[in-house]
Amino acid sequence: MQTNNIRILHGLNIIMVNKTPIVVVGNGLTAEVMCSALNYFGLEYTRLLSQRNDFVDTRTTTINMASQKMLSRLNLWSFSNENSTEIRNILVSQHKFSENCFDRNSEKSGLHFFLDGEIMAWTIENESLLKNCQKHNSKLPSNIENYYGNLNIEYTENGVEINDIRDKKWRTELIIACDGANSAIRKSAGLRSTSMATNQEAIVARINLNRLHHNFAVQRFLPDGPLALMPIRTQEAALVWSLSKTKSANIFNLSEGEFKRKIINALGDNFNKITLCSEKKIWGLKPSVTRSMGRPGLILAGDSNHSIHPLAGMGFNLALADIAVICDCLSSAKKNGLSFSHPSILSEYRARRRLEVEAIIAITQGLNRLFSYNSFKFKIFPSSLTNIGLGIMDSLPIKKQLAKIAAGGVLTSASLFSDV
Amino acid sequence: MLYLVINELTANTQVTILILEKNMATNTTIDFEDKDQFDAIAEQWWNPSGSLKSLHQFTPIRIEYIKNSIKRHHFGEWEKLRPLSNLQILDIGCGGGLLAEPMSKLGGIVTGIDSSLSTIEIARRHAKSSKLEIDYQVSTAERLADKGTKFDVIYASEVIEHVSDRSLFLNSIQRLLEPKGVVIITTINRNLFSFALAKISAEYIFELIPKGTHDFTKFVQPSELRSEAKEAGIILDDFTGFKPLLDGRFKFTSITTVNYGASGSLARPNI
Repeated sequence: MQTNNIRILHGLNIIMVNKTPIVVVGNGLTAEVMCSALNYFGLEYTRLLSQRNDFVDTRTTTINMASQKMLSRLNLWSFSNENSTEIRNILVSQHKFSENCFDRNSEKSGLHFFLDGEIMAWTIENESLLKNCQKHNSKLPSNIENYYGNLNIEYTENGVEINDIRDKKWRTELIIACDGANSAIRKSAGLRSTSMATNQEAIVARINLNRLHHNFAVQRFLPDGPLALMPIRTQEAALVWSLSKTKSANIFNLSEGEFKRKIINALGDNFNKITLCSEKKIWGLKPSVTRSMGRPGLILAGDSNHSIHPLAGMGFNLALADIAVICDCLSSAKKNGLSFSHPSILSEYRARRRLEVEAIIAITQGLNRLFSYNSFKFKIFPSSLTNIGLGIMDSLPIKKQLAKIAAGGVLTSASLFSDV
Repeated sequence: MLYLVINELTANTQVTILILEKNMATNTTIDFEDKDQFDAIAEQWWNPSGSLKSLHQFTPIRIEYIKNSIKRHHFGEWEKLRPLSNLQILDIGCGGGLLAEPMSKLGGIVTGIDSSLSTIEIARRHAKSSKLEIDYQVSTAERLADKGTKFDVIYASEVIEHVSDRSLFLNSIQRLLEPKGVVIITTINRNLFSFALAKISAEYIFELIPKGTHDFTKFVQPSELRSEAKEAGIILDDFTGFKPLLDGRFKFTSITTVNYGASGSLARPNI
């Protein structure tokens, strides 16, 4: 793939301008999959990587059915049993878990989601998915370039001009910003994002249950926030514990033994064999959504577009659906001879993504508030209201609908979601 | 039910606005020797967030309709990236080139004509910056027909409602068309519904538009267009409506109450 380079005489210096139809900015998973998907659709692009030191991502991601189909299509779904785990049951409760909580046939308190033993989703280690993508993308005939400092971006009628602090220049029709929840590109474009007020942080760690989890994901709603265990391999789990900021700091600073005791207190005595198998990390939770989803010459994808509460593990699935829809929109613009900065692309993207993004935000925020948020009204009626909530949700149609939405591909359709 | 009516009204008002917008841009009396004003008009045509925003949003479905009509008449190599390669295409009333440029990118050898010199200058300048070779001319269908030039595909999008002599116009298209060529016309229907919408737009939204900018008697009903085209020797055998959605997109519909497209080809001598 050839990038069209233009030389501009600027005083005595010769400045190289790299011309490319699409620029993808971002170092993470969303940018990697975005590039694979653009390549799959035969769309030429240049990837810009920032020169920051990337941390090792110890988190796990839940991949739903629609996302799995998409990753398979893109040849990014080749995991060993070591780094992908099937989720066949999801147990959501307000109470501590009993001894037989991982037994599918036993009576459960709380909500038990399952599809007759079928796979509902997968837990994937972020690092392993990232490596898959990098390995796959390294074989693509694409341009990958580094940039330094913050990008200076100018949106003009004839396209988008990008400069970094070393005066490297790119000219493009469209930027796809995959630069995360704190997207500098979104901010520099002056796009307003709405943040949901939460005072929560999440403690993330990997634990060994020292017993078989039988592919159960469990989640307990505590007064301060939900605690989720996503199954890994046969006996391990990824812990995501959302807490108020004051509590999270206290718990995060506990010794390993005390931290373990807190987890056992939260989940139940039958978890007393657990051991920590990774360092614990703390993440700020600030759900937000950018309703414009971009501007002419700019499209936001993944967390730069919407970051959601991690309680349902839906974040990356939303990012994948963004990517799938962006590819459909760009591909249809190309078939119509339209430039990638054409305003109809953004309208199409917005129209096709709005419903799912807003529904998932409402569901995750709603569940978080209804079942665990430590608000005044729940202090007065702590158990009765939430029990009613769980009761309503346990009614078959609602439970079925939630399971369907969580499986993905219901509120958004895209060609990458169809069967291979 | 009320919601549906409101939905329909709001969405259709948008289309009517864009037609008024386009009319303003083509029938302008601005002195183009003044460079600033020249640039301001250029911005109107190609600024995606500017006053012609709605016309940009209306572009993809018009392209789809033109492509479908070409396909229906067995033109184009649709498995290729540039399916319209080698097709001689005429864009009548091309404006700033919102349709001519995509047609050229799809491989068409495009000629764009418009009666306004300033508009043609804008179109030429934009095509140059897009590195596209489009033959833009200040001309009319009649003048071009007199030269004896022929085209495989001729389209006139949102133009026929501004033409003073429709029969002469259709006759010129007939003369410009290759024997097996395809003609596509997109326009607005004439009925109480579209009249009311245009009135609402003009009076309540576009107060700056002088009264009488549009002559509603020039709006044309599908049945009239069909029979007038037939008289000119063109058989229009497809009429498709364009329905605006509230989210800014459009979709095809069988209802041609407001915006619609018509396409067809030359009548065979024995018809």
